[in-house]
Amino acid sequence: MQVFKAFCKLAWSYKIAICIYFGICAFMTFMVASQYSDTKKEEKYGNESYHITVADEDKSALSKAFIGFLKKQHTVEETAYEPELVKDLLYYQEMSAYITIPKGFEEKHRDSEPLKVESLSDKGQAAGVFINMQLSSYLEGVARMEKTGLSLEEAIKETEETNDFSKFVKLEGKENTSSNTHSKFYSLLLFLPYAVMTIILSTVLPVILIFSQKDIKDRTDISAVSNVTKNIALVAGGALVSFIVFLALFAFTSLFLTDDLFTGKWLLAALNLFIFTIVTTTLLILISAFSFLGIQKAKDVITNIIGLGFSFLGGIFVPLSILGDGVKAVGKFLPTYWYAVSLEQIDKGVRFSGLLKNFSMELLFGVVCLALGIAISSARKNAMS
Amino acid sequence: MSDTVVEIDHLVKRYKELIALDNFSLRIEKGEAFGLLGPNGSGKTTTINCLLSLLAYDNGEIKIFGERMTPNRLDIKKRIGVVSQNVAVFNELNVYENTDYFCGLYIKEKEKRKQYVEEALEFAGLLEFKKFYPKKLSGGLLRRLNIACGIAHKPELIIFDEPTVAVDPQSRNNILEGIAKLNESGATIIYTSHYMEEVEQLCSNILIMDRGKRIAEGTSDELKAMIKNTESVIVHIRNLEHELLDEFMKLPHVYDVKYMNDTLTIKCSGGKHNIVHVAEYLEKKQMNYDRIYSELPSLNDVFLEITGKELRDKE
Ligand SMILES: Nc1ncnc2c1ncn2[C@@H]1O[C@H](COP(=O)(O)OP(=O)(O)OP(=O)(O)O)[C@@H](O)[C@H]1O
Ligand SMILES: [Mg+2]
Repeated sequence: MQVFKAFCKLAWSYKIAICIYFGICAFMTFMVASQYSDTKKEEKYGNESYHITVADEDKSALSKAFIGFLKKQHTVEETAYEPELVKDLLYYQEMSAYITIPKGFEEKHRDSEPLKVESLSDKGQAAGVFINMQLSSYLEGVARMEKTGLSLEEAIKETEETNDFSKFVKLEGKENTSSNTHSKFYSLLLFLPYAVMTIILSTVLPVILIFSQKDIKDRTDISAVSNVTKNIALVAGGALVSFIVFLALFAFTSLFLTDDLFTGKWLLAALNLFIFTIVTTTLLILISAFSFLGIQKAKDVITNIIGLGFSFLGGIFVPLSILGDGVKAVGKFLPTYWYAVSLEQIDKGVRFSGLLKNFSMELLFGVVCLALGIAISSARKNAMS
Repeated sequence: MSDTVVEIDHLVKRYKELIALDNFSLRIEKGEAFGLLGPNGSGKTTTINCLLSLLAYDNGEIKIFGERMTPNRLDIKKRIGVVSQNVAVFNELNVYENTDYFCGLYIKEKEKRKQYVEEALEFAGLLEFKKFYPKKLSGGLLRRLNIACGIAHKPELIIFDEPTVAVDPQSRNNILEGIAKLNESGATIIYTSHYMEEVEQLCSNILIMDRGKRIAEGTSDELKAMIKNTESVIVHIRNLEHELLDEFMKLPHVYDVKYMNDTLTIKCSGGKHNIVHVAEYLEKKQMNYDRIYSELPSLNDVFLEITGKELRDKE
């Protein structure tokens, strides 16, 4: 109990380091979360209103209905400009898009020829992409309705009534244009192992190293507390701190995952991180077995090498899909890799049974660490006497 | 129940080729203040570490409180307090917390421990420094904290391994007086040092060791009686001709004469008025001198005579 209490007190003396690392992680979480924030998404694909100029050369029922549809959301001006002027206006962003509806638009459509609307807009811009998508989904919707035997008017009416275009487009846009190929869930949870490793390594490791300093260790060994009791207290202390770190980090990240709270996916992700935390703790046991080498002084270097190295090689900083085969081959020996793989699969909806192999690989690393750590410590003990 | 607290029998400890303890034996009786005196590297700490089962040894037997000591004898360890040669405290804990931690390794009851810790801090004169962290303490205070941590649980046997290294004379005296008090209140003390003055002041029984071997044992007076030297007459005199040294040898009881750095040392064995003889002789020869005085033998002389070397390098 005494050792355990002292362990906690010592760990607490590293509170400033904990706060700094936690601050960094919180910042990273904010950054990642902001890329997925709802307001930004709408800015890209949602109900943003644009200034659109339409040159209606057809003046048919369909073209009018179409313009009416655009007006629901955008500021629409019906004029025809010279091509040069169009380019200038687009360039100076006086308008976001210029659409020409050619003569015979409705006719061609009646002949069930493919619909084609000439749109002059800067395609690289979000507005251009967005308007083009709204445009084609509207026209496709009408054509689909007509195929079912409805008249043009009925088809237009039906299309506008049954389809919420902004939503439809939003969905499509999310899938087609996002540069983030991964979900918010995946991205937010992906770098947590780095946080877990750095925080635990920078608080628990120094404390364990203090207890394994020769003077302190000898002083405790000659006392009325047995070695077993002492080691249990140290492991319990390490486990407690690790568990708190796990809880704090996962809870904090969950604040940004309100949609996924308490779902199966969320629980599996928690389990994944929990297993990773256990494995990190066993890694500590292995590292501290080398305390006789005087690694106390190098603890910060060790923390960084392990934290950054494991994270890079295991696909924590860079998504697995981007990693080269060589890195992947090395990564397969690291728990970070299996964490990332598990997370990817959890995100895709794989159930617990499908994740068992990954979890086992993570735990296997822990078992190896533990076995090596104990082997080195006892070999060391035998060498001493 | 025998009253022997510590029994070390033919202890042998090797570090590779180096024989740190060579058939070393000792016995310490209850209530004794036992001094282990030896130069640096003579094996004092090694003896203590073997005694505490911190080190495995190659041969011999160790009994504490009449029972064989092994690493698992927590019941024996409970009755021992250790003030190690190196200060072993947590830099992250303050004076009170450190003392409480080490006391708590022995004493589980909270109330009792609180009282013991307070008493230990008072004993070490650290009450005003309770909230201080070790980094903020002077060398002497740090040593005192080390002592407080070692004795807080009121052990029956207390081992001090050079507790006064790098401590100023004032603190050193405080520490020695404190240890004497502990001894008076019934604790058996083992005190290792290479300062003969400390051991002489404190210990009722002294064992002198060198290179892992026991050289001599006894009270301070007994040890001094073992050697030829009973008195040294020292004369500060300039430009003494070396031929004259033989003349001094002819004086009664004189067995050795040395002249170095304007200091004449005349060693005598027996006799009562050696200084008078020397002074009269100088008078007769009309030799001028600055100072003349007589010194009784010290443990250093004992060590010097037995091993042929100084107990410690002159500082
Ligand atoms: N771990 C070790 N490995 C090898 N040799 C050692 C080790 N520890 C001590 N020694 C050697 O054993 C001898 C006795 O050392 P010890 O520390 O017991 O001396 P000591 O009397 O306590 O000296 P000091 O007054 O300097 O503390 C020395 O020669 C020392 O060099
Ligand atoms: Mg020593």
